[in-house]
Amino acid sequence: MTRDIFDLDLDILDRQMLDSAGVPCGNVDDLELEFVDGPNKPPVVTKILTTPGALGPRIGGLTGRIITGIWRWFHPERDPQPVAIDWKDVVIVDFAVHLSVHREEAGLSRGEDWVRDHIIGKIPGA
Amino acid sequence: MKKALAITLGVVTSIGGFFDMGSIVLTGQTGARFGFSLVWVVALATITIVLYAEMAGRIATLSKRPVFDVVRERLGPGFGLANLGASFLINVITLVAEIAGVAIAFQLVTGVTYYLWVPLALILAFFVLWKVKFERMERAVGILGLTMLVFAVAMWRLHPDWSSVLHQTLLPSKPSSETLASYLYVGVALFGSAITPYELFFYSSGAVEEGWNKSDLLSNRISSYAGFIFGAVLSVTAIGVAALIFQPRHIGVHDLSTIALGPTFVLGKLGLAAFLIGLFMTTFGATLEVTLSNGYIVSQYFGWPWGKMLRPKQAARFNLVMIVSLLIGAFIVLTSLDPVAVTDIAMVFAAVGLPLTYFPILVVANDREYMGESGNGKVLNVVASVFLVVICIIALAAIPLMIWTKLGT
Repeated sequence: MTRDIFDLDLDILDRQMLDSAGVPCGNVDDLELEFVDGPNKPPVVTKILTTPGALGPRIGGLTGRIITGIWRWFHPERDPQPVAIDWKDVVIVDFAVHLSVHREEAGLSRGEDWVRDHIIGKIPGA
Repeated sequence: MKKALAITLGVVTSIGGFFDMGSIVLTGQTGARFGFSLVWVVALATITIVLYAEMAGRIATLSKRPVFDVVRERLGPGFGLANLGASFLINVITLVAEIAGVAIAFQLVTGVTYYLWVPLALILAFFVLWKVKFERMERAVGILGLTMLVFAVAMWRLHPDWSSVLHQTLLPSKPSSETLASYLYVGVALFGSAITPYELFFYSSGAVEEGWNKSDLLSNRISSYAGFIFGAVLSVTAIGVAALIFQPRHIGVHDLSTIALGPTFVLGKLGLAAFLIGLFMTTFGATLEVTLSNGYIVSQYFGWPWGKMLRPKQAARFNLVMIVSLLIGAFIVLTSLDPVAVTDIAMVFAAVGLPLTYFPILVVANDREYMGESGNGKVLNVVASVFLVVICIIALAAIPLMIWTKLGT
């Protein structure tokens, strides 16, 4: 699927992200748009927002607040922000959004690493 | 080699998925109460699952995307999450039924109560998911599951009046002793037991993992058609055996040992042995499939690494979801709920949850961006849409029927 025009809602949002090593590292939960060229020009996609901290507000309502709440509860920081990835780090969009950054560098491996180090990795044979 | 693998996936999906605890219980009950008058439901379910499994496999092959990935994209994060929650719950209830089935298989062999076998079933499932090469497991389930053909042999050996069987099947009439509501309710549960949603999650994720490409499209078609039609043969003959043995004697089916009487009555110890091996393999295979499905759908919704071919360390959260699902399932089995009643209810809920998964599959199978020239043709679309409407009607009717008939009694 190589092409020039993307439908942000259908082709980018909710799509799987793969890091520079090709490993799944979350979905595109939300997008940040900015009026880079002034208020009279169309806005430009500047960032991909991901992690439940971005998913919760997008779903909204009670469900959204519960998701955000659980995410904040587990997050080590006191006032956590959703992970933002610069749009310039996007290499190509096909069946997935391919990133040029490594998941650790982008701050996307925290949950996976924690579960691996504290639970799954401790079971023999993992 | 890869072709063989692709076809195995279809057959395994159908043996573990189509003909599992749900089908074993429901076909037995259906035959005993309604004779051959609900066989048409199995036909309806088979066409539906064949059409949608082929589409899901084709999507997975061409777009590299499993079903739940597609579900979230097309339904959006909100409805996607609702579907995730519903599918997860349905999977857990199904898992309760399957684990109970595995444990009951041990009980029927040893005479020791199935509660004591639940931990063994749990450890066995965990061990296979953790350590055993998947192809090996697929083959074992596929080959040993064939023993369920014992129902076909038993039915043939009963020498039924085939023209009467055909007549009752093609011109079904509800037995006068049963109400129309119960007839429809059991029909809904039978439908749900044949096309439980986890089959598609498992099948499409397997296709992505095994790296199918365009050259696998034909094997996808063969495996989805052959696999599920094989499952349908097992279901229909299991209904047949119950209809020929239990219905005339007014024997109700409330547990698996009654169902085991069918093959035993006709084929003696050999029949019983084949049934018990089949019972173990199909329910154990389904335990693995449902557990994997829960890992698949949660990981795919949140975009985590997933896969039975990755080492547990490389997909930690995927494995955590599977372990938690197994533990919840086993815990519920031990609360001493009646496993057959749980199975009945699980199958009705399975029917309720279907549209949310089948609708996105039909939409994406038409998306030319992904599918290129292999998108759905017009005829397939018309047929698949008609069946989608049928699924929606069944889903809407399921809960009211359940309440109206007080669980089909």
